[in-house]
Amino acid sequence: MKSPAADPAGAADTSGAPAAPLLSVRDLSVTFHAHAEVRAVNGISYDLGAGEHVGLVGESGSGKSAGALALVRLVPDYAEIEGQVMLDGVDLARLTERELRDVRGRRVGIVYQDPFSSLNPVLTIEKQLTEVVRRHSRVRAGKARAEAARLLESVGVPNAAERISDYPHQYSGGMRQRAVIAMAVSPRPALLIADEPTTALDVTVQAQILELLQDLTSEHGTTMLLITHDLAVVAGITRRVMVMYAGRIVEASSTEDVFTRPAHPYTVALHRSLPRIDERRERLMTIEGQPPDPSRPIAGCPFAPRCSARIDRCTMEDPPLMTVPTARRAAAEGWDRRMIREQDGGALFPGPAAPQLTACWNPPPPAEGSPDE
Amino acid sequence: MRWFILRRLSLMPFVLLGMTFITFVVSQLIPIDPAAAYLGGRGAVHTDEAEQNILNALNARWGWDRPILERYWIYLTNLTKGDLGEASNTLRPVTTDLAKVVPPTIELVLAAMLAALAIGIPLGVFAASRKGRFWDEGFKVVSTLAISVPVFWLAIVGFTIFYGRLGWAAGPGQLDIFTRAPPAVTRMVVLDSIIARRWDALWDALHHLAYPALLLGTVIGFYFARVVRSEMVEALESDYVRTARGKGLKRSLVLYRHGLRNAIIPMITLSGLAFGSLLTSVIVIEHVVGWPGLGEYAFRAATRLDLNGIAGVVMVISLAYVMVNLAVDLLYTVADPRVREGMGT
Repeated sequence: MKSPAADPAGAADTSGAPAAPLLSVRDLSVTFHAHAEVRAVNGISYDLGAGEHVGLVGESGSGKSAGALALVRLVPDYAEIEGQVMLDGVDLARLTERELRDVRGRRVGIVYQDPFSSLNPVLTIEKQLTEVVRRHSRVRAGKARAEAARLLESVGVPNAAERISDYPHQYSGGMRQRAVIAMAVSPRPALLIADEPTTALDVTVQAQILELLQDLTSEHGTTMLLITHDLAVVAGITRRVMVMYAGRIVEASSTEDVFTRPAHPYTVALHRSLPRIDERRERLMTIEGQPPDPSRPIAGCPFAPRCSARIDRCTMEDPPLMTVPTARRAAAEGWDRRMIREQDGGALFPGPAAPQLTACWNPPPPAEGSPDE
Repeated sequence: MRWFILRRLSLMPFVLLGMTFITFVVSQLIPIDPAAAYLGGRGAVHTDEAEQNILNALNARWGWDRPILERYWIYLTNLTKGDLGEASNTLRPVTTDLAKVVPPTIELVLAAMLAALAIGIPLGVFAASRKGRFWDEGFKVVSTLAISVPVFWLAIVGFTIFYGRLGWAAGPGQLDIFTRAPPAVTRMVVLDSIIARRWDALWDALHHLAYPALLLGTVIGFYFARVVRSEMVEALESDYVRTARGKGLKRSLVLYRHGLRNAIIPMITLSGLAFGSLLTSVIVIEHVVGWPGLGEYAFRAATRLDLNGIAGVVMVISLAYVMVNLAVDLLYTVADPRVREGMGT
């Protein structure tokens, strides 16, 4: 683990990682103005390096999908988006709807959660594939159709040349998701948002779809933000993981750290709720209580009411993201936010070069056998 | 697909047979003396022996004194020969009358349906794409008014304004009395004018068609628009529309190819249902604007207690219903690939 004081924002540790991140999100908030005002995403910030594969993990309602789709404003009308979304130096949040249309699909591809509802039931797969090819590459209809067939074959739909004229209901779930992936990667986007791409699929198909995503993104150096509620999904695919809870990023670490020495009690609890084959447990552990009501403001850490490691400060002050050593000392020595910032060296955002970060006043001790600091 | 059509067609004769039975029995249940009605009376007490003789002769001539099932049998056997009896209100065969009055009504109904679709679909899409905003709220108010106001009232008031005051609408009938009618081929004046290349008559015919067709089309169009709006609102919130937007597609493509293409499917059923209310409205409108069609004929037959005429009208309307329903089912298979699949070829 890097020493945080000597490594402000990871500036010295960028070997291999590009100088400027592909995507820079700052203070992104999404508020749904429905019957009640619901703050689904609460000021999250992070960077994604070019070609990086990053997991965004959280349970349903944690704001992970809303936060990701809000990057290209693909949210309902009644959602209000605040913050900055820099993609290659352009702030997507400031683009008009018309300008954003050139970003959607072309620069940012999206794979959705439910392949059964995300394809148009009355249009053939060919039509739905061809329209995205034509939208972003301005080729003739005949050439676009040939390209669509090639794409469908490249995502592993068997008999693609024939099956391309089928309607979505004639496809299995896995094939539909392959078609959705073909649409998403067709214009070679710089960023691929995969929003729970395997949740609606059979277990046997899940691995194939993940492998396909992995292959396609690695092949073209595409950055991938893989959203999932399932820690196991990110295990083999992403280098980094951000854990979301109640609209906030509560932990950001390398995938290895998240599994071997989680730095937030919520991550620890998530691990305990995973079934394991090497430990015989009578029943799975669940996390006591419910996530907080997002329509009400929360004092202190949003996980505090369910947290077994809760200390007094947790219910009074919402912890910022900090490095683990800083977090330990901040609680013990009563540091305020300014001192925490100084200790960690300026603003710290989860990014390619950032160390393990946690938003907890009392982070869990490292698991036995793994060195800390 | 072909089996589906064949199956539907093979059921048609049975549907038609049941239909004739119901229309015949219902028309016979009207509590009047057909012989007296034929003479223009209402079945008052007849003391005059000469009059009684005439009635008896009429009853013998038309078989009105025989049991109802026997009369139904006679009616059916005549029907197979294309004979629907004689209309007492015109003293001509009902079939001759129908051949004359059905085409103008078809012309009016088709024009009104086209107008309703042309008004209803874009209006519904427009309102849905501005859901909850000024124009959408305005649409809700106006459409509620349009479908609540009785058509007969609207037809009269509208005619008074647009024909009587403003002079925009053409007068009663299908053509101006000074316009020489084109030779009757289809008996739809618009078509006949085109066939005869009589452009003056075509213009005049369209002018006369405009008011009743637009009035009916507007009323039913608002009804369509409300359904299109609610279907569109649902479609626009769907995942596949989000996918379409996520591809960066233009707004018009998202609205029409992805949204409307799905929202339109329930419209097929609705058009079939609306056809029914269109026919009832047509009877009223034809009377208001003096359109020489089925509605006007039905009105005359009903007020003159012309049983054969009424039965003929009901038969035509029922037949139209059966055909429209068949068309609705067929259109469904065209519009929704999932239904096509379920047909099992």
